[in-house]
Formats: sequence, C-alpha cells, structure tokens
Amino acid sequence: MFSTRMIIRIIEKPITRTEAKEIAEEFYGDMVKGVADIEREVIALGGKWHMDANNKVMETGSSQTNVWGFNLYPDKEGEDRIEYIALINIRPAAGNRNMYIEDADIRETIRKIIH
Amino acid sequence: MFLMANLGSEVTRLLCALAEHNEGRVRGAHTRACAILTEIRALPDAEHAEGEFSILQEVLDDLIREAPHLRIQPESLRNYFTPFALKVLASSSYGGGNSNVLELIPKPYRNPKIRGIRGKNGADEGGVPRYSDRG
Repeated sequence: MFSTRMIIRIIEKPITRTEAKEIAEEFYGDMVKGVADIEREVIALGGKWHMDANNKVMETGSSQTNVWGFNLYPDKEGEDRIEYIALINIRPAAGNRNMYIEDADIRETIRKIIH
Repeated sequence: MFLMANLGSEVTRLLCALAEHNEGRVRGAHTRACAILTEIRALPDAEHAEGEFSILQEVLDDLIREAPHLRIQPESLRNYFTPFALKVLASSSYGGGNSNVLELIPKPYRNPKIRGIRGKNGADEGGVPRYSDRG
C-alpha cells in the first residue's frame, strides 16, 4: 500500500508548471498534495499524505501553527487550481473545525505564496 | 491504497446513513470504517503518516457524536478519499470489479473512456477530472 519511493520537495523559489506537473505525476497524476508555511512563505509538495509534506517543513524549522494543507492541480486555472482542503487543517484550538481553511486571509496568503 | 479506497467507501456509507438518520447503519459503517483504519495504521510503512490517521480517527468519531465538535462537510470528506479510489481504479484496469471503490466516483466519471484510464479494452490514458468542493 505504501510506496517506499516518496519525494517531498521544499519549494522556496517559483517553479514552472511543468515541474509542478512532474511532482503531481509521481503519485496522484493530476494533483499534488502540499503544505504552506505562511510565516516562512515556503511550500512543500509531494507525497501520499499531507502529513508527509507537513513533516518535511517541520524538519526545516516551521511551526505547526503556521503550516496549512492544500491540493494543487497544475493543469487547472484560476480558483480551481488550489483546493484548501486537508485533514491537517482541522484545528479546533485555532478556530478551524473544518478540513477547509475557513480564514480567507490564510487562503489568500497561501495563494500568493503558491503563485 | 486499496484499503484507503475501501475506507472511503465505508465513510461514504456512513455519511449516507447519517443523512438518513439510520442509527443502525451509522453504527455499522462507523465500526467497519474504524476497523479498516486500524488495519491501515498497523501497516509497516504507515508510521510516518500516523498524525494524519489520528486526525482521521477523530473525524470518524466526531461524525457520530450527538453534538459534533468539528464542522466536517461531507463533500470535503468524500473529496479526500476520491484520489485514492481513482488511483486504485487506474492501477487495476477499471477497478478489477471492485464496486466498493466505484461508489466514490461520481457516476458520469465511472466510464474508463471518459476518465481516460487505460482499461482492458485499451482506452487511452489521460487526465482525471476532479470534483471541486468550495464553500
């Protein structure tokens, strides 16, 4: 069930759509799971679970409170390109009781980091 | 992956039972879903994703609470599992007859030719549609 080959990439500089598609094709095909650190303004892409990318950014110094999950569809345009849904976004203590990021400011910050 | 797709099927049943207020079916689906999740968590390479499974268990338990603590939207949960089902279908020539997995795929996209998944008849490979869940 779990592949031993799993590459998670920390993205600090803009990457091309082709590169994003390559990461997506490693597992889900048209979609790649990722997390964004809204404080450090970095994202991590890849893996089977959001927790994979989450762990990766935590290893590089992120604080969990600043890390949010999303799904990126490189082939899509506009609002359909990013889906702000992940299990790791459920944080009752932070006021987010949903898989969807309910805070529009956080969503907008993530959108700007990704674009 | 197959277990995650099956878990998705069971969660879909749970969501349907909740919508129908059918307590018996709710209990049954919840029990089966928890059993599958336990099986997944016991897999050798599952440890690195334990945090995610832990949240998933909390979500399953919250769904059957009389007063849920969370605000889980059924569509968000279905969309979470859909990529696993699509992956299973793509890797098994149209699901290998697994009707459980097919329950996760909206009917218009179950045709392998439409979905672009290579089937036994040699259907072309291509993009897989997704299902937006904005709210």
